[in-house]
Amino acid sequence: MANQQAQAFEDLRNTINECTRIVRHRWRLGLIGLSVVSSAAFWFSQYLPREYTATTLFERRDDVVLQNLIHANSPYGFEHLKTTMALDMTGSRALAKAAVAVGLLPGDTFNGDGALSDRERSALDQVLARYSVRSAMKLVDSTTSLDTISLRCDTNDPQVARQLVVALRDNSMAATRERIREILGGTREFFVGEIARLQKQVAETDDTLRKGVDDLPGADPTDLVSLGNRLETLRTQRNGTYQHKADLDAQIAAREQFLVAAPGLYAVPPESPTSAPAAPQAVPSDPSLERAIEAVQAQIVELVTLKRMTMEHPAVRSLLERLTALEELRGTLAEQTPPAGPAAVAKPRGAASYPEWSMQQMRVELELDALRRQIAITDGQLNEADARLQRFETLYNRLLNNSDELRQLHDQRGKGVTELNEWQQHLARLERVLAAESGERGTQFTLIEEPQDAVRPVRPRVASIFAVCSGLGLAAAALLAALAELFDRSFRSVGQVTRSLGIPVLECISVIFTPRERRRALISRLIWTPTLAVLLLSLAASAGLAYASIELPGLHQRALQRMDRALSAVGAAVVLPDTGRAS
Amino acid sequence: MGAMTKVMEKILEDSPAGAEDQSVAAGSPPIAPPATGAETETASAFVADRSWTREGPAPAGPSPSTPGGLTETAETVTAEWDPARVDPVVVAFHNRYSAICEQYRSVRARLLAINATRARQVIALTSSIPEEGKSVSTLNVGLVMAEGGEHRVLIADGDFRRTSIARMLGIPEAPGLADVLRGERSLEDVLRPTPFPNLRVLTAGEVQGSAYGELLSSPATALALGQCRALFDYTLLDTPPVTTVSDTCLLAPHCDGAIVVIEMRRTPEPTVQQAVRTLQASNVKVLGCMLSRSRDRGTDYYAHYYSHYYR
Repeated sequence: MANQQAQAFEDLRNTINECTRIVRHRWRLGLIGLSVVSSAAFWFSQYLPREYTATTLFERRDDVVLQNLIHANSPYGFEHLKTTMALDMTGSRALAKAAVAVGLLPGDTFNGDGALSDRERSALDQVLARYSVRSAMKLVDSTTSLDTISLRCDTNDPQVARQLVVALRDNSMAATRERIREILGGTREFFVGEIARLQKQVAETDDTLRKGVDDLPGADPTDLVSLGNRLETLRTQRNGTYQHKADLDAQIAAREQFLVAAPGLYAVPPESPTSAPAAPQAVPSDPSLERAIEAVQAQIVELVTLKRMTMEHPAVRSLLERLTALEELRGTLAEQTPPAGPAAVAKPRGAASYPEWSMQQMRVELELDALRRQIAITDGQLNEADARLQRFETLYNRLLNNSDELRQLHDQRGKGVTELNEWQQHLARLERVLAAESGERGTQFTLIEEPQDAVRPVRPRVASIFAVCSGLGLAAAALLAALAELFDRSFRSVGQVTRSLGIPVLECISVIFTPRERRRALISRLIWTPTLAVLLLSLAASAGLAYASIELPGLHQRALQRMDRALSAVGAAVVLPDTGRAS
Repeated sequence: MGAMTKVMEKILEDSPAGAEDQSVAAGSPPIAPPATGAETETASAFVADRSWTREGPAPAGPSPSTPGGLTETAETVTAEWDPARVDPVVVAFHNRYSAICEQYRSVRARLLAINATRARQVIALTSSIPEEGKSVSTLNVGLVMAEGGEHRVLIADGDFRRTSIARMLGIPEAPGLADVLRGERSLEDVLRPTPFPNLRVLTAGEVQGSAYGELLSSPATALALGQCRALFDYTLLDTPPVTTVSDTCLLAPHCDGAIVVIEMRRTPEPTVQQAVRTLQASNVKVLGCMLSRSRDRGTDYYAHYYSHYYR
């Protein structure tokens, strides 16, 4: 194993030595091959077609509402818009429009939308091939509301590249706006249709629910408790009306009795006010006290019916106590009120002869008249309340029997209303977005980077050219050295002599540098040095031209112009490389 | 012989007193002081000089005869080389402390290691194609082997077609080995002294016509090389490229071994393989190869040693 390793190491060392020897002996030849081939490669690299690129960067900021639109994945949705963005921007149709916009193709070349016809595609392909057009779209950053888009166009002409990318971008913006308007328009129609359908559905449900309760504004047919309370309130109101009518009847009876009994009283000689007790008669109550009592009663009814308080509720009980107190007060006042004035009673004359009586009689009669009108009204109210109460009780019983069905209808209506509200909100926002979009204020396009006329081509790259040319030169050098070694039959090493002749090598005698040898070496140097210098200079010049053709086009152009003038002056016809900027 | 003597005399006369200091100052290797007033024959003086041999100083009296008929004397003969005329590639002469010189010393060490018995050897330096550095290697290896004076060394030029030893050293081409092979001169007549007393140079000489093959295939070749082997511990023979001409195949069988010089990153591998196969087919022992003009010594140096280590 150790011997094998040593042998391998020895072989490697011999190989390296042999390579070193070849390099040392053939370096001139290798340098010639390297210089010639590399110079030629550098020179011809100037003839390679250049590829320039123009890039624009812009943002598309969508309205927030747009993301909430339904059917996001439908052709009317924005996800679909993003999915087809690359095709919309860099597809054949987009390129065709851009080519027409730039003026590379006549305007009547393309007609309509959709897929290109064979004739249109042929014309477009010719233009694309002529300018080596390649376009690409890249979504640099994408969120729900913001897309950062990079649009690039590569051609062999920097101006065409810039114009094409601008046209592609502008066409894309316009197409996007148009597309968004189409989306919004279609969506609006859909929204309006949905709202109309829901409105109709809610109206039908409302009609079903409100059947029979039209005369009860605000009543919820499904709220039986409320309806029950309301029924109780109606009953209370009817009872109140009955009570009011009874009061009125009592007052009327009292006044009628007064009118009947009063003349007799005026005709009788007056007695001592204390000797005869006053005849019982209806004493008109104090109106303020009555209003207070009615107010308390109304409060109690409200608490019990509307607020659904029980009779044991402290508020209700306090009101009841107050009502009781007021009624006691009214009774007390009625007992303390004197039955008649002492002057009238004391007068022993006939009633007709007393003007006070006449006045009193006229007052009482007027009051009677008013009371009778009130009671007539109260009767009407009472009848109405009875009828209403009867209808309400009928409705209540019917609702009570159909409560489940009504509840389902109510729920259905609620859902319909909710959905309708949502659709209406969507529509309102959509209308706002549509209005903004119509004024180009909805979807915002922000230009981040404007494309420029490319000064330097992106392809071929300097590093690639230098790598390829150097590689070719080195390969040529290696090939020449290898061929020279292959066809050189002379002895070049001691090992070769030993192997070939089988006789020992006594010694290697170096070159004896005699004056003649020095002269010969000098002549050789005088020949080789300028030759190699010229070759190296040509290599450097061609490499510099190749570099300048990519990195310093202006300098390269001037150099070529000077070279052209110089060649013209000497009458040489050389086709100098085109810089690729002729157009 | 006479011309050679005259040249050596001129060299010796031109060399002023204190030349050792000058040579050291000029970067030349330290050389032994010339024998002032020596009028002896160059080859005889060289052969007689045994002071640098392993056996020690030569005994007095008549010099013992050698297989080539040479006689040994007690005199030491050296000759100055003009640094301006010696080719700069001879680094062992111009800058003996350089790294390249050290590399040649490494070659020397390996040759000595190969020759464990210390037998006298004739080594041919050749290559597969021209201009690979044979002559440069021959000169530098010879110079570094002569350092220290332990060995008697001869640098011989056996490439008659493109002689270069004499040109690199800045000395006359003739007389040389061709004269010996033709029988016009003896070996001792054509041996050239050097700044090293134990080093001699044998140039190629002038070949009349183009009869290289006949000249090298003659029996005189074997005789001359035998004389060299007898006189010198190491005889470094610069030979033509193997795959280009057949001269090496005629010379190499008389040698004790051959070193192939290979120029790195130039010589095709099949050509070198063909050259080695040719030498081996000629019954020549290939001692090794030298890799010249190597530009990556460091790596190959270590790889070289690693390759041997793992072998």
